[in-house]
Amino acid sequence: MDYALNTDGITKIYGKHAVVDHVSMHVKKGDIYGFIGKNGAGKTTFMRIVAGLAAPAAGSMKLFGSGDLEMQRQRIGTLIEQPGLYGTMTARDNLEVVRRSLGIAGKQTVDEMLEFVGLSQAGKKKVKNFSLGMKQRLGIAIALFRSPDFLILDEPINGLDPEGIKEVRDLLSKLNKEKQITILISSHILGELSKIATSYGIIKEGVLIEEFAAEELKSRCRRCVKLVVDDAQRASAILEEKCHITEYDVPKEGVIRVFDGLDNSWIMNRALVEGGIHLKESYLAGQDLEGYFMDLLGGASNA
Amino acid sequence: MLNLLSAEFYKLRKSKAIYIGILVAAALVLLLYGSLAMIDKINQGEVANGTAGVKVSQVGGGMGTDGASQSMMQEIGVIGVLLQMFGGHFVGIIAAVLVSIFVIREFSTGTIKNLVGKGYSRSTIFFAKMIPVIVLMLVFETVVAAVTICMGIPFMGWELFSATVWEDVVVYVGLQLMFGAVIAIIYMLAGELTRNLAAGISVSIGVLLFSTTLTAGLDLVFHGMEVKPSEYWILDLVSSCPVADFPAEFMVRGVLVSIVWFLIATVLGILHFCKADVK
Repeated sequence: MDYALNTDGITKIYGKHAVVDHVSMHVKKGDIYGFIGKNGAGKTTFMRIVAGLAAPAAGSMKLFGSGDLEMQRQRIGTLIEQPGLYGTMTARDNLEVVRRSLGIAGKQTVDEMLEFVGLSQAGKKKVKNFSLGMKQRLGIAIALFRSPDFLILDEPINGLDPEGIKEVRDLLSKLNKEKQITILISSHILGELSKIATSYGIIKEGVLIEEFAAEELKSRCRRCVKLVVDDAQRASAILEEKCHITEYDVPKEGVIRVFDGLDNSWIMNRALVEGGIHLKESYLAGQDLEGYFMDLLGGASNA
Repeated sequence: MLNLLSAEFYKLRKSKAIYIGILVAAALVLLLYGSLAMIDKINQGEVANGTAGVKVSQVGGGMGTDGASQSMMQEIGVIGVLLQMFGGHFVGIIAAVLVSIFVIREFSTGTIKNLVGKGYSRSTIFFAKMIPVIVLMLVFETVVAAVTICMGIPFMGWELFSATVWEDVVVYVGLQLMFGAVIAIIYMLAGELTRNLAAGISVSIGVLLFSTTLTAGLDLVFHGMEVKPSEYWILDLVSSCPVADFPAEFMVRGVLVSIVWFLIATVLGILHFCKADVK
C-alpha cells in the first residue's frame, strides 16, 4: 500500500515521561487523516516529529515510502500550533519571505496565494492587526506555498468563526480532491473533522490506540439493537429463522448487533426467550461521532 | 543557501528595529559630540559649569579637565570620539539588542518553523542566519564610524578635523569591525541558547558589561604567571584596542583571538541548533 506517512514505534520522552509512546501511524496517500486526542495526548509533539521540528527518542518513519526524510520533507506543508508570522510585516511581506526562502520563482505567486486563501484585500495590512482567523489563513497559505503533496495541520480551525471553519473545510476538501494532497489534521471540533476525514487515528496518553477508516467509524456509530446473550451462534440462527433478520454482526462473543427491524425489537426479544436463549441485555445503541470519540477517549473533556 | 540568504536579507531590509537602532546610535554620537562641545565651552568660561547637566571637574590629569585653556575636542579628536563609541558600551548594547531581535524573533514568532524541516539542513539554516547577522553588525558599526567622522566637521571645525591621522582611523575602525563581527556571533549564540528575547538581550548585555570584569579578576588570579586571560577575550580587545602606533603583537593576537572566538561561538551555536527541538 502507498503511504504518505508510515511511522514505526515513534517515541518522544520529556524527562521520564513518554509524551509519544511507540506510535505506528499509517497515513495512506490521498487520505484526510483525522488525528484525535485530548489536550496533552501527544498530537502536536508527534506532528512536530514528523515535520522535523523535534527528534524522536526512538522509532523510525518513512515519508512517501522513503527514509530520506530531509528530501521528502520538501513535499510537506505544515501548520503546527500557531502560524509562524512576523507581526510587524504585512501579509505580502510574510509570504515574500517564505517565497524567497523556498526558492519559488515569480513574485506573482505571492498575490496568487493571497487570493487563494482570501486575503488579497489584506495583503498590505500588518499581520499584528490580523484577526486569529486571518492569521490561520495566512498560516495555511504558507503551508501551501510549495504545492505540497502532504499537509500537516495542527488545529487549523482553532479560533475561526463558523464561516471561517466552513471555508477552511471546503479548502481542505478541494485540495484533497482536486490536487490529491494527503492531509494529516488534528482538531478539537470533531463534528467538523468527521465531515472531511477519510480515516482516523486516536491517541491517548501518547499511545495510538486505534486507526480506522471513516466507513468503519460510520459502521461503529450505526444505530442498532444490541443483544447480549449466552449463545450468540444459536441466537443468530433464531433471529434469522424466526425474525428474518439478515443485517447483523457479532462484534464479540455473546454480543449481537442487529441493524434492521429496529422498531420491532420486542419481537426479537420474545423469539430469543422462546428459543431458550438467556437474554442478558437488549437495548437500542448507536451514537453520534463525537459521542463515540468521547467514549473511546474515556471522558467528555477536550478531545 | 542562496534562497535562505535572500529571505534573510529581505527580513533585514524590512526590519524597522534595525533602522531605529542605527538612528539611536547616530543620536548617541551627536550627544557625545554635544557633551564634548559643552565641556569645551565650560572650560573656556563661555557657559556655567553644570549647564545642561554637563559638569566638568578636575580629577587628576584627565582628558580636557586639567585646564580651561585646553580644548577637549582638540585633545581627543575624531579618533578619540571613535574610541568612546566603540571602546565604551554604546555600540555594544545597541548591537546586542539588534542582533537579539533579529535572531530570537524567529523563535518567539514561530517563524523558524517555516524553515526547519523544509529540505534545508539545520547547519545551513544557522549559516544563513549568521551571515546577515555579521553584515548587520558591520553595517551598524560602519554607520556609527561614518556618522562619528562626518559629525567631526561641524563640531571640530575643518582645521582640527583635517588634522586627523586617517590611516590610524582606518586601522582602528577595521579592527573594531573584525571584533564586532565576532561579538555579533557571540550575541547570536546567546540568542540561540536562550531563544527568549528578554533573556537573550539580558545575557548579551551581561556578557558585554561584566565579562571584562571577570577577565580582570582572572588576571589577578593568574597574577605572576605569564598568562593574562584578558588578552584572549574578544571584548577586552575591543576596549584595549590602540588608536595609534598599532603594535604588531596586538594585531596578530587580535586576528587569532577573533578567529578562535568566531569558531567557538559558531560551533557551539550550530551544535545547539542542530540538537535542540524547535518549539
